[in-house]
Amino acid sequence: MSVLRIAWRLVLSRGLQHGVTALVLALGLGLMLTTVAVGDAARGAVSAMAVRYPLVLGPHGGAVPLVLGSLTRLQDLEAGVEVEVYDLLKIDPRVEVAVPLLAGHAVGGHALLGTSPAWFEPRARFPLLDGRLFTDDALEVVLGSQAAEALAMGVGDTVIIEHQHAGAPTEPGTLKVVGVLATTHSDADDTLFCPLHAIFHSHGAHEHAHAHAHALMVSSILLRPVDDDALLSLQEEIQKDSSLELALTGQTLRRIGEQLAGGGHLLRMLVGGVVLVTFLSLLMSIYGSSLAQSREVAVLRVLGARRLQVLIIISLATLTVVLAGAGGAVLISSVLAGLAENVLRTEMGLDATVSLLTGRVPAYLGIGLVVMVITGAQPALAAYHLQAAEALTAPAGGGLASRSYLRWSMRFLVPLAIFLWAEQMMAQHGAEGFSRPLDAESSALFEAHRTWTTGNPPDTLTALDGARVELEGFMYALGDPWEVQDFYLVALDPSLPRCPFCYRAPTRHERILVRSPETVHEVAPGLVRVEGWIRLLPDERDQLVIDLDGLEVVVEH
Amino acid sequence: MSVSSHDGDRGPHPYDPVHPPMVELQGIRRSFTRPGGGTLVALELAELVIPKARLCALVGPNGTGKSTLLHLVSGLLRPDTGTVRVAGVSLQALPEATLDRFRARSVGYLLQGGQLMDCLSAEENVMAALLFAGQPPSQQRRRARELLDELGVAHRARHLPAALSGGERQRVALARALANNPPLLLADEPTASLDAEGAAALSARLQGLVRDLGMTVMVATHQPERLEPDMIVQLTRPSQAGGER
Repeated sequence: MSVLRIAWRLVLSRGLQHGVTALVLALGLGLMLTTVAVGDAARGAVSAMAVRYPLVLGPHGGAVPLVLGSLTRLQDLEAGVEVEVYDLLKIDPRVEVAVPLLAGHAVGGHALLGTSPAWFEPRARFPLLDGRLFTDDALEVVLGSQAAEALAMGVGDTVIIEHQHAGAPTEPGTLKVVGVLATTHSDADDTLFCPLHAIFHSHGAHEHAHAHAHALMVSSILLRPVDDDALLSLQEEIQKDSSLELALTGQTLRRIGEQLAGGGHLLRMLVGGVVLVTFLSLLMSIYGSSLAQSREVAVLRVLGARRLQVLIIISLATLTVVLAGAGGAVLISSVLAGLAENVLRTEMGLDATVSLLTGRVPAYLGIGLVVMVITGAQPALAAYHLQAAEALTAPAGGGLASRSYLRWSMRFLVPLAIFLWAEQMMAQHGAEGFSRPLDAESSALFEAHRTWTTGNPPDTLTALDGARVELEGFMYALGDPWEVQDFYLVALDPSLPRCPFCYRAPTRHERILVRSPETVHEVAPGLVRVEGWIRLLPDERDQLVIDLDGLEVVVEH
Repeated sequence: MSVSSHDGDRGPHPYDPVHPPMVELQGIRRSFTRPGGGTLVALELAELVIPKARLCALVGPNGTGKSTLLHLVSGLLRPDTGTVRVAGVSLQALPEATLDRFRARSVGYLLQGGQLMDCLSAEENVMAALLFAGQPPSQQRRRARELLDELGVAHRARHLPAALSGGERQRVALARALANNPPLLLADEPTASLDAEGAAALSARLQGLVRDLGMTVMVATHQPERLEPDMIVQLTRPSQAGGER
């Protein structure tokens, strides 16, 4: 006989009650962990997209459908960019990578995407099961694993490209299968890939375009500029063509996230509700268990058990339930994470890896465990302080400081509820996306900068050189929307819907570069306030620079 | 309170300085705070001396403090005023950890209704008492089996209390109380849930403990006639004047 054995027997004696408690804990915590893990994974996938291809060029019609259609399967794309634009960008020194996309065709019900071999970068994402990638000027095709299996095709076989409607001007074209991709658990598995040239050729499009002076079109072009200056230069140049849309990937995806914030808010509320119910259930279960076991604790004391031994016995019993709940939570969230990853990859086209070992999940699991252990500690403390003589003579629960337990629980619960509520409210308010005028000082500075186009800077700016300023504005980040270090501050909220007639990206005189020695903040959806030393750097493209020197960006909601 | 003794020849005189009494209480007062406020005086006792090797019955109506008296003697409660000495040891002078050790090794407590731990088997209930007295695990099971065998419930050693009859539970509880060979056994209404036959058997067993092992036994009971005690302590309801608000 040992205290450990007594603790275990206490757990077993209320097996059903403790089992249900552990199950509720597992479900609540598991759901929370899954939500966090999926959020992290989706965010990571979006960040990777924004870094891989910071710009997406397509026909005029809105940044959101362009980005969604080019990087995910959430939107259909229509061809509207002349292939000549792609040819120019391909050799532009400001462009590191340009990847064309031409969608709209299918083979046996599987999507056929016209692109270039660069689409498969980084190669580790798309290992080949057999063969090789296609070459740009050949009539070749690479099959996704699922498509290859469904079509019963392999390297050396011939694919016939189906036209979208009967009566097409040319006969269906044929492509030779040169490679099959390994399974990636993404929408690539269900896709066939070929060069642009192959699709044009299969439609007789070269000849047709030549005869009718029509341009060849692609759906969109994914771009990775060599640096931020190149990105801004491309942006200024391309936006002069009103038929084209150039979307900043990170900014657009972030904006989509804000537009979906209502759904996210609802999900958070639901998960918050589940967590709260879980927590209350834990409190009540442990409370009931404390009352029920007060007589056993009193008997232990009569037998000569010291208070410390009683504390250890009850703590071990509670810890067993808590650990069982945590273990169940990890198990449940592992299963749900696997399902969610499959949905993100196959249904949404996001190259997401839902992991319970990275991101915020370990921290949330740790917090959950600490909360549960603290909650479970109170019954052990109540047992420690139990008046055995009273418990032996009083009805069930006598001798326990039950009111004290409830008071203690409320002291813990109320701040937690306030914290959750505040977090919800902040998230809700931050997602409103409204714009408002800047303060007078900031407006004056932006105006002075805007009117300084050539020559020496105006006196108003010269006077501020080296001064410490506080400035309001909106963040305009060029890359990963969640790992922002340097960013531009602009006067107009870039997340607002854009006017199709007058919108253009801010020019160099309409943006202020904010530099920080380290990552300062994710792109904030609303007005932000920065503090730092202002510097005029005419040699750096006449830019107005605010050097944060390690100071924080203050986000105002 | 009144004390009547049936046998004055079986042990030392209560005030014999060479042979101190087993239990000695003086000027005891113990009160409790009522749930709705105010205090309730549970026990007032000017003096009580119980020599060694006596079977002492505590009698009196409900609310006269019989259980409170047993709790005070076991060290589970401390008096508001007065002194409690057991085997010459002044309990109020002991720190709590020492008091716990004292209770584990020197006091056997037969609780009202047996009060076994429902989550432990009969054998484990006895072993638990040995555990807290510091007995090594190797001896716990042997001693538990020995006691259960003596009391005729060895065949029920692996059963949980819920599977035992009232008499069996009482015998397991007695085995647990005797596990550490305590010089003092306290019993709270031990015959309350037993039939006449069971009560007679228990009475004989308690008599045997006193007679054969020299154990001192204090029994709170409404039926002293079933026990044939050496001495009867009649408790009366304490005066609430000044104590009850």
